[in-house]
Amino acid sequence: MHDAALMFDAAVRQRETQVLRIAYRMLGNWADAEDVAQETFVRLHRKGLAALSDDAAVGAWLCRVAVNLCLDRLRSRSRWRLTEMPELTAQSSSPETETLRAEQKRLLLEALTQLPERERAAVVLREIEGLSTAETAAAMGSTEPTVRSQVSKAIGHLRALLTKEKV
Amino acid sequence: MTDDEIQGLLRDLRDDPVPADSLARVRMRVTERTSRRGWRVWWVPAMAVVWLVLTVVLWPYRVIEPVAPPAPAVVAQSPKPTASVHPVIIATVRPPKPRPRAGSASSHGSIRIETADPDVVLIFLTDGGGE
Repeated sequence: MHDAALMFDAAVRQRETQVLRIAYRMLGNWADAEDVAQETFVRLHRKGLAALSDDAAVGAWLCRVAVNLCLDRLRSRSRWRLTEMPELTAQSSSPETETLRAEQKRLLLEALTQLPERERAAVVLREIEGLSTAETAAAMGSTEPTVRSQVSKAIGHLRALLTKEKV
Repeated sequence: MTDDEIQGLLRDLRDDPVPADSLARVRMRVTERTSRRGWRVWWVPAMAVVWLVLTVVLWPYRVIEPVAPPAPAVVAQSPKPTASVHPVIIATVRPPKPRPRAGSASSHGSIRIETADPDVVLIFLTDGGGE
């Protein structure tokens, strides 16, 4: 196999989980998330890895394309619903605590779906995926102060929504 | 619920597993689409070359052929057409045959005499009067 094809394959394997997870958090179902992830990597193939300077640039570019594709899909929908829930990893020993944590996550995911699109994207990239503010801003085509403001507003909205749910 | 608790929950979401079958589907479709694109890249110029060759080979050149001498007229010796093209069925009523009278059953007859030459046969016809 050609070197470029090997490098592309390695890039897909390295980033596929993150891209698919971002798409799922943004869109709320695995089928749409798979479509977005697939399209993202096909665009990377068309662009060519040589056009990106290093691994970090590849990651940022993939996040930007995935977020933009997700935003396009969300705009084309009148309303989307979270139709699937992933299996949650057990992180606590107590069954009661585990159940409470799972319920909190479920409510949090539902609240996430009610955020405005760009606030949701900022939270998904910054808080869930753990990108830096600069990386999040680059992925969203925005500025760092804007991202900080969007994340802050999003957490306030989530808090209000979860309080209403009495978690 | 405090902001820290919310951020803690959000960080927990990062560890949620991604379904293996989803990952496999994405990988398979990406491979399929990228390889198909590579095939298309070669297919288009190949078809262009084929089209060019066919155009050159099948171009309708004007060929000037030598004029052949006029063919001699052939008179068809077909039978002359009959008077009527369409077949006409004419019903005719035959007059009844006259019945031979009684006693004249042998009114007509013939005498056949074979000679020594097998090709020569003498036949004498007699009329009703036996003459």
